[in-house]
This record gives sequence, structure tokens and C-alpha cells, in this order.
Amino acid sequence: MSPVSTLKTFEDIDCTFPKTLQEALELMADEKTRGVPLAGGTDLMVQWESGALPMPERVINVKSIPELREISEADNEVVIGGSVTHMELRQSSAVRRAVPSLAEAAATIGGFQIQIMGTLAGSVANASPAGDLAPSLLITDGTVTLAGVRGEREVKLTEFWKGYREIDRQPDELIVRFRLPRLPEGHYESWRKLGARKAQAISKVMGSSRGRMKDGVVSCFKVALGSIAPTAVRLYDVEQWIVGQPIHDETLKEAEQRVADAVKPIGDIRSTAEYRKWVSGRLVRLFLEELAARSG
Amino acid sequence: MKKRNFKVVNKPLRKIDAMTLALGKPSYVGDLKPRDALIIKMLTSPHAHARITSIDISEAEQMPGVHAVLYYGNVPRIVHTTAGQGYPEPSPYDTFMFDSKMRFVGDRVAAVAAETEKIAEAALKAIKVEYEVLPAVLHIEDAMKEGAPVIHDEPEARAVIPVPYDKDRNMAAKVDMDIGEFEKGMAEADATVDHRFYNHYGQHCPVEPHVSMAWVDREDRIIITTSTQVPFHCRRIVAQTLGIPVRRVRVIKPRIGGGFGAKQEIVLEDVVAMMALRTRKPVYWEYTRKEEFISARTRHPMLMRIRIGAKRDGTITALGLDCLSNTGWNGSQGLTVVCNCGSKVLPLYRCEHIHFNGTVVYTNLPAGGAYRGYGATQAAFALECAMDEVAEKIGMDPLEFRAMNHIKSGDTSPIFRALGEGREGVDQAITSCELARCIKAGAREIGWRKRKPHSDKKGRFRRGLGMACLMQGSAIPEIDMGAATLKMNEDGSFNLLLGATDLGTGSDTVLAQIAAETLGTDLEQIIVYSSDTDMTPFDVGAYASSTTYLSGQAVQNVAEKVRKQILKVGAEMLDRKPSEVTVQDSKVVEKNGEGQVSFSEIALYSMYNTNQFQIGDISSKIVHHSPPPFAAHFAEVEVDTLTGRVQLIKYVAAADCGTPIHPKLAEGQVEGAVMNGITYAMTEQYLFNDKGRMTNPGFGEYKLFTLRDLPEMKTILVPSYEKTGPYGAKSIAEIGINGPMPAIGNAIYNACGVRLRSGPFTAEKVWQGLNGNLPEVKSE
Ligand SMILES: Cc1cc2nc3c(=O)[nH]c(=O)nc-3n(C[C@H](O)[C@H](O)[C@H](O)COP(=O)(O)OP(=O)(O)OC[C@H]3O[C@@H](n4cnc5c(N)ncnc54)[C@H](O)[C@@H]3O)c2cc1C
Repeated sequence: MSPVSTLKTFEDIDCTFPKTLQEALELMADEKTRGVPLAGGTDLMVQWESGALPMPERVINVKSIPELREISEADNEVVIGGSVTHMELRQSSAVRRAVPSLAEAAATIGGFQIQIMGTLAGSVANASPAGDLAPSLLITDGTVTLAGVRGEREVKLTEFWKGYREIDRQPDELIVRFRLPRLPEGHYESWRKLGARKAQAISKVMGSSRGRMKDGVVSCFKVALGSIAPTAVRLYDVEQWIVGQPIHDETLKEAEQRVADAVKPIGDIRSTAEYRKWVSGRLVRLFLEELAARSG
Repeated sequence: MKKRNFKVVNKPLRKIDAMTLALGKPSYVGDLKPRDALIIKMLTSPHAHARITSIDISEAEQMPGVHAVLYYGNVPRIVHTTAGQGYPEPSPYDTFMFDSKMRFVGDRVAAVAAETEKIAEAALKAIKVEYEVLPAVLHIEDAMKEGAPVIHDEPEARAVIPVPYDKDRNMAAKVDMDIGEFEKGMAEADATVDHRFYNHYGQHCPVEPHVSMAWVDREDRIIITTSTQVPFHCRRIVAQTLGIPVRRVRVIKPRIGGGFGAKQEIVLEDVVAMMALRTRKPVYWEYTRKEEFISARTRHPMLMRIRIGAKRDGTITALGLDCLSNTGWNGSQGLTVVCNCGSKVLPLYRCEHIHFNGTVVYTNLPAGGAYRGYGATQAAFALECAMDEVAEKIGMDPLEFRAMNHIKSGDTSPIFRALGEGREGVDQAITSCELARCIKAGAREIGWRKRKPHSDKKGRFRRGLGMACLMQGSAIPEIDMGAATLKMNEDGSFNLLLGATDLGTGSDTVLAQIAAETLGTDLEQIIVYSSDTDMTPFDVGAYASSTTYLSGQAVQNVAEKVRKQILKVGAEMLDRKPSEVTVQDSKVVEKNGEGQVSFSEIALYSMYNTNQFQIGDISSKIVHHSPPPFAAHFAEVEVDTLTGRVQLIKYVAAADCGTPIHPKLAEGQVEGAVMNGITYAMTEQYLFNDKGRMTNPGFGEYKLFTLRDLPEMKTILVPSYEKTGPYGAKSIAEIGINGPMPAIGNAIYNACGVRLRSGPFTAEKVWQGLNGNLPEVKSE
């Protein structure tokens, strides 16, 4: 083969637009018709262009499959289709009621253009440690549903990210929806992202929490941070320790220290390991302060 | 200041190319690319310092669609500088079109011209190169150490003007200046400061990267259309580098998508011209953003030592600045940038005992070049932060301390003569300075009176105020020359042909305003053409804040000459003496009487009727002053002590640029420069790995401020009248970029007591400062 023909461009990729989920799953089932699922392309296009990923032979466009575009509310949960965009997440009143930190996080992704194109499943499947939506998904203890022609499979989000850019998905499966338990009465969520600037900034550290105070002590607290480990992580030890504690300067200091001890971030192009460690503790402190303030 | 009645200048008229650009009409090099142009791609060095031991281009050459491959083995080896400067250049000759020695990651190995970009890229992959990797110099501090690898060991490298140059020690330039007795001045002081500051790498980030194309015309001349600030220097240097006469080269500059100094440099044009000659086809080369970061030019990073001594009464007894400048793999603009650290900054404060040293070293890193501010940016950071530090030590308000010491109208400074651009400078007295009013106006706008020391501040969010005073120059006196041609048409319109280069600044409009004002006509009557080395007269180009002040005077001169010709013809037509008539609203009118003839009637008469001649002239100008614009900048920040994050709340820039010929464009220059400086101060940063490779060469990880990050910004133009300038104007384009580093740095200190002596001002650094463990100031 001449060297010229091995260089691919976007135009060389074969792209299919299935109209229904069933059609898409059938294409995915057969190795001959299977393609890389493409939603907003905000990760894939960049990765192909930079050479981080090889350009594939085929892609299956999943962005406009109707079943993947829905948001619905049930008694205890909100159900969000995989192809729901960041812009839709931030604007949906259902999402804002049920998982406010997810809507807030979506609003900090990239800029408006990226928010209009990028999708929830895309962010989750891309599985970057800096994916801004992961912490808010983790603190709900919700699930992700994957589908293949053989049927559906529901996986706990806390078990879905296996390692650096690794998820529990079979090659023929598509992510179809997320089922996220809604914020219970009397609970509050917090979200913070630290980046170098206000838009188009990949996080140095970010995180979410969901918690409640009752009778002057923390009765429930879930906290997850991103950009500090190969995947976003729940800080179970800190969560357990804080439950039953009042929030005052001493417990805040201790929480801060426990978080900093618990996380083992790396230094990279965006920040240093030392700063990330320290500021992780500061973020959790802030979440607890906010919880106390809101719980009155 | 007396009020002047201008008709065209000092008015915010519609920019003459506004519609064309707003409608997206083809204007830029990329828009003009011929359909059959060959695409050029460059293979670059993966090593910071290496020698090519073997290179095989045969496979690439034979690929279908490839028209030529250039490398050091098949092009002329002519030493030159890439710096677009006057001749002989103050920058050393240390560059070849191609060389077998690689001096940075990104250095040219071989260029391919092919029918498509895809083929060109495939051909690059087919070139086989082997390297002997050499130890590299990756830190400024290491460059002149005993036994450091020698970067320019080729025999040809040399300085072309008599200045210190020692390539065996990686020293690209050096300049010293001592006035009075510095040590004595320090000894007389009640308080002194002595600190190191570091100015980090930064890039111009023009929206349009470097882009050039060329073809050979039927007379065997090379026609280059290029995004350049210096068409005439480009013509000269391309001819030199190819070893052909200047007459065989024509350089055309269309609209430019921003330069900021990056395009005061011959980055692509030599290869584009050589490729056109070799292939006899139109060729086109455009840098990718990655190439723009790595292989174009940057701001010279500098390690500085600043020393100031002051008496308790506020007198400055000694002022010392030592700059160690990193010019990277070539010496482009190294000497002159470092000279400007002294000459465009130190005269700002009156002082008897001044010490200045600039040492410029080669490293195996990206090359410095011209960049808006041109040394003044670097030095202002050190000086203006140190001024605050001394003021604190003697217990004075930093504003009062500056107001008491800054240079004023009528003052002079021995530095003006002592430090020029690579040679002695030119004596001058300050003829206009409204810095005192800039300080007052800016202080009022930012609310300086409410400023409290950082020790009074408590809580998570802490606000602080900081300021800086600035000066720059307007053109390089007795070196730079500008010229203009003006000729009249039948309808009373005029062609104004300019060598001066509008790179998005609006200088075409500003210069047309000056012509229209002088001629007594409307802006619409001036048809501007800039710049084309075949058509327009010589001009050094757009740099050194010179266009309005220098080229503006050339335009004013030529317009005065043409006006005289018009008066003469008009008088002849009205049967009057020239002294009995005057121009007014595109007419020649009798001073005492009713008679009048229009410009159009005059033009028709002089072209077709009697005593025919072309009304028109050419005029050139050199200047003997470089009147500084002045500015006072103020910043308000909020430091989040929970995360170390610095939020810029408000930024005020009060500037004295003489008469703003076009007030809106002048404001635009201030705002643009300030934004440029803010993002350099807050987020911009070159990151390198331990092999000298830049790891963030793209807008994803090289962070520029977005519009959402910008603070509330306020620009105040404080008018003055510079009597040596055209209609009282001096420069405004560069000065604004010098303020943000010191003003924001001072504000951060005032907010939380953390003194940052190197940028960018990241949360990480503030956090280290809050914990009292800021590392020692050093280079990247
Ligand atoms: C300029 C810019 C700024 C950005 N800023 C941020 C930011 O601030 N924060 C942040 O978190 N992210 C950011 N991103 C990353 C990106 O926008 C998100 O990760 C995005 O949500 C990905 O969604 P997408 O639909 O575009 O995914 P795509 O690029 O289409 O796909 C990403 C991955 O998901 C897979 N995939 C998509 N849909 C499915 C499905 N239904 N089933 C199975 N696999 C699927 C694809 O195969 C691919 O592997 C930014 C990206 C850009 C280009």
C-alpha cells in the first residue's frame, strides 16, 4: 500500500444513521456492520484528528435515536437518555430538581457549542478522569442501562468505570439510559469545578456532594471527586466518618485532612499533584460548609 | 490644553475596511490561494539539539503528486537573520534556510511541496532521517555555564553590527549601561529591594497563523503574497537568503489577521520563494496552530534582578536592572528587545544612579522575537512590582511614591542617549506627558482611596488593588523610515499608497484620516493601498509603535505637498495668486471673494486642459524623537483563599497617546493590549518536557482568557498634544500590554500578602504563597 492511502480523513469514514434503537443494535450485533458509536463527536472528532485514536472504518450515529433522547421523571428517580446533550441537562427542570449538581456540572462543560453537541453517554463512555459529569452521577448511586440485541443490562454507576478510560461495556452494546435516584427531601447537593478559566477549561479538580443534616449532625453524606485519580471516585471513608458529626471548624479541618490523605492525584499539564491533594480537601470542606449553611 | 478644530482626525469615523471585513469578502492570504497551488509541509526535528547524520529524500521525491523536497543538501547555504529589522540588522546572522544541525524541537529538517496536503504529509513520513542527539541547553541559567553545549558552532554565525557577540559561550548579545554610581546610590538609600523576577514564555496567538504563498511570473520574478508586518524587510531578506537580486522579488501584503510582532519575522517566506523557484508552480504554506506555537516566535523569557534604593522622603537613590534573556535557538531581536528593557522602562522615574545590563543567551528552545511591548513588558513587571515593595518599606502609598518620582513634561533622561536600538540612542526631552492625570483618573475609577493593607483583610475572599505606571516609545528615532505616495484622480479622490502595513490595527484608516485632514477633504475620497513592494514606497513596516507617529508624518508631509499643488492649480483656474486661495471641503476657495473650484474640476483641468501634470507626490520621513506614550493601570482582584484562585474584578487603563487620531481605534488598541497582557499574566504558559518539547502547543491546553473570563474593563484616554507628531499624535498600540503583570501582581499582594515574582498567576502559586512555601524564582 502506498503511504498516501493509509492516511485517512473524516471523509473516508462510513457513517450510518439508524432511525431506531433496534436498528442500531442490529448493526452493532454484526461485526461486519458494527461501528464506533458516535454521539456529539466532541471527544471522537478531536481524538481522531490528533491521532490519539485511529480513524475507524465505520461509525454508527446514535445522537438522534429517539429512544436515547428522552428525559422522564418517576417517583423516586429521573431517567435520562444517553444522547441527551449537556445543554438539555442544564436546561431540564426535571434534571435540575432531581440531580441539581448534574445540571450545574453540565453548564460548566466546554462552551455553548460543546454543550449543544456533547452528550451524557458520550461523556460517560469517553471515561476521561476529567469528565465533569461523573461525580454527580456517582453520588446518586444510580445505574446505567446498556442494550444489545440479546437484551438490556443494568450496571451500578459506582461499578461502571473500571479504570483509566475503561468502562464495563461489551463491543455490541450501546448505552441507552441512566436511572438516577432523585435528591430526597431535606438533602442538598453541591458542585464545584476548578479550572484555569471560565469556559473551555478541563478541570484541575472537580466534585459533587449530596448530603443531609439532622439534629445538628450530618445524617447522610456522599461525595465524589474527579481529575484526581484514573476515574472519578467516591470518598467512602470520609463519608462514613462524617456521618454523625456536627459541622464546625474542627470537624471541617479534620474532613479536609482526611480527604487530602485519601486522594493520590498526579501532576500533569493542568496542575500539580500537591495542589490537587490540598484543594481536594478544601472542596470537600466547602461542600460541608454549604450543607451546614443550607440546612440552616 | 487648547481645543483644536479637526475635521477628520480625532473622530471615530467608520473604519475604511469595516464593511469588506464584516461581509467576509476574500481579503486574507488564505482567501487568495490559487486553486492549483502546491501545499507545503515541513518535517521538523524531534530533538532539541542534534546533528543529522543521514537523510534520504528519494522515496518522498518519487511519490506521485510530490513536486519538490527541499533540505540542506539542495538549497543555498546563506547565513542571515530571520528578524525583520533595518539594515544592517542588529540581530546576529545565525540562521540558514535549512541546516544539518537541529537547534530545537521543531527545527526545519525538510520541506515538501505536493498537490494535496495529504500527499505532502505522506511524503514527510517517507523521508528517512538519522540523528546524532547532542546534549541540549534547556534553561537560561545553564546557557553560559562552563562546558555548556555550543548551539551555534557553525563558522558563519556572527554579529553584523559592532556589538558583543560570543557564540562559543552561547551569548547572542550583551549591553551595559551605567549612569552615576549605582552602588553609592544604593548605599545612600534608607530602604532597598533586591529581587529576582521571571517573565515566562508567551505567544502572540494571532487568529491568522503565519501563511504565505508564492509563484514565479512570466518575467521570472517571484511574487510572494504573505501575512507580514514587514513587506520590505521580507523582500530584502528573501532575496538575500536565496542569493538573488532584490529586483526579482515582489512582496504583497493583503489583509492580515493579527501580528503583534510575530510577523515582524521571516518565518515562511524564504521556503515559499525557494519552492516556487524550484517547482515553477504556485505554492502555499500555512502554519498549523501547533507549528505557530513551536516554530514561529515567542516573547523572550527573561530572568531579572531588580534593585531599587529609596530615601524615606521618597527620593529614588538607585535603580538597577539586570536581564538575562532567552533568545532560544536563534538570536532574532535578542539585542534590541533587551535594550528596550532599559530604554523604554527605566527613564520612567527620575534617578541619578542607574545600572543596567542585558545579556542574551541562546538555548535549544523556541525562539524569541518581536512581541508587542518588546522588552518593556518584561522590565515593567520587575520594576513596577519592586516599586511597590520599596514604597511599602519606606511607608509610602505606592501611588504617591510614583506620582512624586515619575518623569514629567520638559524632563529628559540620560538613558535616551545611552541606550538605543543596538547602538547609541538619541537625546530627547519629554514634550508631552499627562501621566499625572492618568494616575488621577485611573485612581478615581478604581476607588484607590478605599485601598487597605493586606494585613487588615480577613475571611475567605480577599480583595486587593494594585497599580503600575508605564511608558513606551513612538518609532525608532533616526533609524526607521516611512514613506507615502499620494496622487489625485479626476473625481477629486486620491490614491494613498503606503508601505506601512495595516495588520488589523486600523492604520489604513488612521493614515487616510491624516491625509484627508491635511488635504481638506473627506475620508471617503482617500483610496488606500498598502502594501506592495512594487507599488508602494518603502516603509520599515508595522513595529516599534511607529505607524501613526512615523508613517503618519510621511502622509502629512506628502499631503501638504499635494495640497500646495492643488492650491497652485486652483489659483490658476480662479486667476488668483496661490496665497489668495485656500482649501475647504474638497474645494479651492478665494479667501476674500466668492470664487471656488472643486477638487474634481482641478483634477480634470490638470489632467486634460492646460499645463497638464499629475497632481501627486511622494514623501518620506525619519524622526528625531520617540515621544513616549504614558499610562497608569489599575487592577482589582479577589483572591479565594479556599482554593488560591485569583479572580480579576476590574481593570482600568488610563493612557496618554497624544491626540487619538481615531479615538475608537485607539481605545481598541488599549483594550486589545490589556486583554493580551491579562491573559499572559493569568493563564498563558509554555510547558516543556525534560527534552525541550513543548507539551501544550494548542488552544486546548495553552489557555487564553475567553470573553467570559474578562473583568469589567475601563479605558480612559487622557488627551495631550505631542507637538512633534502628526496632529499631536503619539503611539498607543504596545504600551497597554505592559501593565497587567505588575498591576495584577501588586493587587494580589495587596489582597493576601502573597508576592508572585513569576507568572502566570495560577491558583497553585497563590496556594504556595499562602502557605509560605513559594519556590525560588527560576525559568521554565
Ligand atoms: C473544546 C472542548 C471542550 C470540552 N470541555 C469539557 C469540559 O469542560 N468538561 C468535560 O467533562 N468534557 C469536556 N469536553 C469533552 C466532551 O465534550 C465530553 O466528554 C462529551 O460529553 C462527549 O460527548 P459526545 O456526545 O460528544 O461524545 P462522542 O465524541 O460522540 O463519543 C465519546 C465516546 O463515547 C462513545 N459513545 C457515545 N455515545 C455512546 C452510546 N450511546 N453508547 C456507547 N458509547 C457511546 C463513543 O463511541 C466514544 O467512545 C470538551 C471537549 C471539547 C472538544
